Amino acid sequence: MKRNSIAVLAAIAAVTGAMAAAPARAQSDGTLQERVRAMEQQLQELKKRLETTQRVAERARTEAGSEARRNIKWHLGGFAVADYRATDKEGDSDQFGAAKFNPIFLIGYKDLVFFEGELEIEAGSDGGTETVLEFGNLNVNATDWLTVTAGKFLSPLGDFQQHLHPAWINKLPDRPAGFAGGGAEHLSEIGVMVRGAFPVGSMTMDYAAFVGNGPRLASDANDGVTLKAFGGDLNEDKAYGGRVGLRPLPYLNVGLSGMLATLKGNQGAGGLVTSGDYDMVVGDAAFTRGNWNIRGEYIRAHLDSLNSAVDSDSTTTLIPSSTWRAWYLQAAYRLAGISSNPILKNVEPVIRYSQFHVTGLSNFKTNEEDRWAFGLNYWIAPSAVAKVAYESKDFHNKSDEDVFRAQIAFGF
Amino acid sequence: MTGKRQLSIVVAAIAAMVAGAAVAAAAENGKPDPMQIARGAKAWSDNCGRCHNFRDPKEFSDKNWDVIVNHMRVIAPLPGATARDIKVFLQSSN
Repeated sequence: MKRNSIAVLAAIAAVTGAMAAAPARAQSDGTLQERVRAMEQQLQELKKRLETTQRVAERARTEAGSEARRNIKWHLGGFAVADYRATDKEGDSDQFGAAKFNPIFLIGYKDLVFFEGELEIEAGSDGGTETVLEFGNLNVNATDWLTVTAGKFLSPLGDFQQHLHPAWINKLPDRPAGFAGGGAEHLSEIGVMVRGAFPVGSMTMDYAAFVGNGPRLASDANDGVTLKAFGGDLNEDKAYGGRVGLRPLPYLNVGLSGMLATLKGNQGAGGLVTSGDYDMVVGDAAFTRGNWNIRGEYIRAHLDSLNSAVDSDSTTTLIPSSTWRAWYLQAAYRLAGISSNPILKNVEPVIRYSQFHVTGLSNFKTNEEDRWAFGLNYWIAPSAVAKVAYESKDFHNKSDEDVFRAQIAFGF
Repeated sequence: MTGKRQLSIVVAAIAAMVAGAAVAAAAENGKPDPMQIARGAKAWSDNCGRCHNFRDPKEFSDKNWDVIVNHMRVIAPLPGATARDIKVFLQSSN
């Protein structure tokens, strides 16, 4: 449009110039007047088109403004992961796996009501696709310091599961020993939770407290306690838990969490089933200053003795009181702190040590492990990372394993 | 008072009125308070790098930041006032 205007104006100028330089010699007055009229007509058309364009632009601006003012707003975020794993374990082949896509739907009404839901869509080893609801919950911001959450939510116990497990945030391709299914970490819950944060002088304190259906004893005792959310409850006893966190300095974060629940024994092939009290204590700390990222977490869970079947084919037996302990310590350093080289500054070495130990029923000890992990990350973008890592897994009750992992993850 | 001086005073007064009207209009249009932007910048640098790398404000639109910051307020968690400061900072920097 602008080009057309310039062209027309240039043409008018040229004609006017020609008229001034050689009036009426080359052309008759009548011809010139005719050309000027044609020019004027073109100019009028151009004006009309300009007005139409302005009206369209104004309408677009108004619509964009009303979009920004709408009370219900949404965003589709999430992350995607691709993974490769090579192992020296006999009978286990090297493989590409964990091709995962986790869309996260965020929908809010003003700053008052908020829904968040995450699906995990993963390529299964049998050629199918597995879909899991990671979380889906409604939140009401009751005050500046209190949000009420209802539905399925990530466990607020500790720091790793609720804040660090997404692949584009986790500094290594794997979770620490004991921090996955079959371990000691509480993963998710279905129930109601209140949480929030408030300033205490120059510090910030945060809290979370929930009541939910709680964990269950796994149907196969080798898997210990299943610490993920269940959409139903086997007993009247609910699980109660929460966390208190303190940020005394912007780069220092400490937290203490706990949970109380009662687990019912599994029926199996018959026999008397009883229930046992279950409790969990979690401590976590993080130091995240400059290019340093150092953190750790300790979990201790205890189950009182109870009568339960150890698998679906067995009759009930007395399960002795058992204790699970899992912890990790991890340090990462981004080389941007010592180099401005465009490649080196994006590199981040990582080291992590983790342990998972159990006392009590021998079946619970299947996955006891001490693990070293060494990784090297390359940050392609703030939320896109390519990782390689070597893991040395020292199992207590099965053959040790060395694993090489490569992973690419992108959060959006 | 000379005519020239009177003219200067009138021009200065008009300029002041125009500037005042512009500031008032900016406030009416919801332009953020510079102090809130400053508080938001500090809160952003204090909080957002605790778990993940800092995200560039330009990665998302105002509308997206509205929802994303609300999500982070719940999951981090952050005090409501801090979350609003961070949101204003991100929306004024994208």
